[in-house]
Amino acid sequence: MLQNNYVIDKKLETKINIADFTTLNFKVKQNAVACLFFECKGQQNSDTQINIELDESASCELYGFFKNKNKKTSLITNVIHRGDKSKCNQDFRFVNKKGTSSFEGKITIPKNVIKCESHMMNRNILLDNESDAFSKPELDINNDDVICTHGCTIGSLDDEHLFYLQSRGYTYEEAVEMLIEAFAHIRTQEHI
Amino acid sequence: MLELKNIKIKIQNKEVIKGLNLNIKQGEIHALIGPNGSGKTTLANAIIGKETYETSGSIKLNNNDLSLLNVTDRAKAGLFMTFQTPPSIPGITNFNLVNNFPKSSDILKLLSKYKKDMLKLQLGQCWNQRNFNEGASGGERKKNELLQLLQSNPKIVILDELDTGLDVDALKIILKIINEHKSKYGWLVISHSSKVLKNLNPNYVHILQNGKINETGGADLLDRIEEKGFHNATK
Repeated sequence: MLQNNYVIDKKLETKINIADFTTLNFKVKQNAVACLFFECKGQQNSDTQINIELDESASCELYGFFKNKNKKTSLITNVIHRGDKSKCNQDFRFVNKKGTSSFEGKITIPKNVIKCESHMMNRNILLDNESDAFSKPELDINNDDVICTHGCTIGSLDDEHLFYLQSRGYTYEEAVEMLIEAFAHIRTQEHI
Repeated sequence: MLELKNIKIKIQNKEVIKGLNLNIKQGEIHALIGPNGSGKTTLANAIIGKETYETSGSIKLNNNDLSLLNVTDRAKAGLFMTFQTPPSIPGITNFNLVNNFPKSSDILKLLSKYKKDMLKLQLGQCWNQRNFNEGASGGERKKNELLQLLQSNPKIVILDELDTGLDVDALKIILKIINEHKSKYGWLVISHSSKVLKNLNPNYVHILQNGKINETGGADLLDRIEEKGFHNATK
């Protein structure tokens, strides 16, 4: 398993398969912009830590969508705002079918770093009783002059939506697939 | 067409519909009217196959028994319901949900019909790209239900609380469309408002009270209800 280090001077938009890495380090330099999409290919369990360091006025968007069928995906994100006015938005979504997701996210803003904005969201859908989701969104904020949010949701697909789609002639399986795709798409529509 | 015999519905062991019979033929509009909580929506959901209800009795469409079919198969057999409160589904666009065309069909022809129907319903082009009913008003949601109806080819249409959230102009448009398509389908129109039902000039009016149809009559029954209220109209 590999560790990979990225230094972003200007702009980077890329898709990364976390199954290939145990640790990913990103340093987003002053005024640089990073847009990172994460996925997890293959049937193997994965365990990855993503470390992000943001210099002054750096901006980073982190998105992940993972389908866990008979596997476990563990993800740790560690975002440190090193410079003033740096921005970060994290949105990680998991759909588990006989699978497990584990998300631990931490945003750190030191006392002397101000005017930062950082958001972290983790959403999980469990498709059956044999699935689990663990979520630990954490903030370590050391001054008042910042905008920060964090949250997590764990639930199942909406029965009303399933009933509605079936009443339109979609099979149960098609309706489930549509709602999972919709769950994945909200992410991109909200932020891009 | 649709034949309901001795329908009984229980929800969490409470009997909501207590033995109901109804026959709807093509081209007929049946108005089902009753006070709040009388079981109108429950009946509609049960007809299209809501599985969390305990439903007994027989539901036949053109002599085919639908009782054992699931929601999807009943829809495919020809039942279409417009929902009282259609949900909003983020992540699926209005266009994608409505346009579930079979692969063999003539897509250009269907798209052209879809566009015409959107114009009729006064839904703008940006409607297609918006998430399904997200941020939509009650009236827009009802128009979206009608738009879906016009793209499908059912045998029986159930309109659950047609007028919820509709302004006068939108109601006019929808009533016009229903009247245009009256002869194509059999209709079960559910409402607690006799005024809206009068505009449809129904062939039959049924009053649902305490889980049973207490009275069946022609459109004139609506006048009696307006004048005397549900309770006295059935005496």
